[in-house]
Amino acid sequence: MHLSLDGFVAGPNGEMDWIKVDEEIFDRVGERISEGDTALYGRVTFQMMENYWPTAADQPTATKHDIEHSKWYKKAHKVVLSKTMEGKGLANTTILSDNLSDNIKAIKQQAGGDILLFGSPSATHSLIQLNLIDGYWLFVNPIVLGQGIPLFVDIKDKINLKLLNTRQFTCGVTELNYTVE
Amino acid sequence: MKKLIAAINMSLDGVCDHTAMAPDEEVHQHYTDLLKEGAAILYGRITYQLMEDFWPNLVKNPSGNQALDDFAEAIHEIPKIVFSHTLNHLEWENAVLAKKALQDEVLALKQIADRDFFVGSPGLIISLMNLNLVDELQICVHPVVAGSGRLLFNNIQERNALKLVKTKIFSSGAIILNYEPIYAPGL
Repeated sequence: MHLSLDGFVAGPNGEMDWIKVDEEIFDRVGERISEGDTALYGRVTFQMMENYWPTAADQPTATKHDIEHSKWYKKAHKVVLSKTMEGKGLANTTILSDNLSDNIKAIKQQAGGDILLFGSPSATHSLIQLNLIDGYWLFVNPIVLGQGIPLFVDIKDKINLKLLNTRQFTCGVTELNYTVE
Repeated sequence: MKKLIAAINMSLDGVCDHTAMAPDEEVHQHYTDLLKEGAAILYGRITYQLMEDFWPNLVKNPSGNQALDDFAEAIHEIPKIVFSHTLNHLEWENAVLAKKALQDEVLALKQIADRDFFVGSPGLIISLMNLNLVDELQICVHPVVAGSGRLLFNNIQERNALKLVKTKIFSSGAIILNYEPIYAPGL
């Protein structure tokens, strides 16, 4: 998840123009996601992904990162949280419309490696509420937005974290890896 | 010109209440060393009163926790400049009420201070960021999601682009992110 220093994942209207991504960050993301085979999305983010990644490698302007991520995306088991979507005809895709807690616990059992939740602020909020997040993989951007969509909302009890590792990128982004204690 | 450095603790979700996190000895040691290098520290009334209720007592009656006692000594020694519309007398030695408005006081200090100086209370930090007067931000992010409490960056008026200078990691999992604001129009 990309985060501003003041804890927002997007601007007030969903703006993501402030998020810094470059080769160095793509390489790091590629390295980590290649360790797992399951991705989790909210409906909105999934639809964005689905419109882009399956064909991203075929574009004449495709970068090394586009080709690698497209390949990973097509192979990955994609789990989508949505009450309205139908999953017919979508390869390697499971739609979860209810009973999130049990369903996600079952997927945690099956998945090879970590399940990575990409973007998807609303899905993240639901999963935090249900206590289903085991760790946070954050890219803190060098900016204070002042307003926007926060990563953490309606947290009832304090969540203690353990910092596993960090990395400082040339573009000014700091990677923070936490597990929930 | 000397620099104004904003140094403060916050939780990962941006809460800056001192009750939201528990700085350990290593973090206190860091702040003790930092305070010893500074010319002064600026506080608003509320933070100042919290400090005044706690640290001078610890200087008189040390706790036995070396890191805490050293910090108490350092915060006691450093000159404190307090911005308040209501206070007219301060009990703590080395503390004075600001005579000028915030902006004028800070601009003057940047000229005359012999070392960098700090701002340590959330309201003042944000006011000074909105005035483009903070030269460096040292945010110590503690490994906790507080869930409720005062948000440090609540009243920021517009986007502030920053330049990451360095980070410092503590064994508790706290990390100091050190930034310089980029005050360029249009960002």
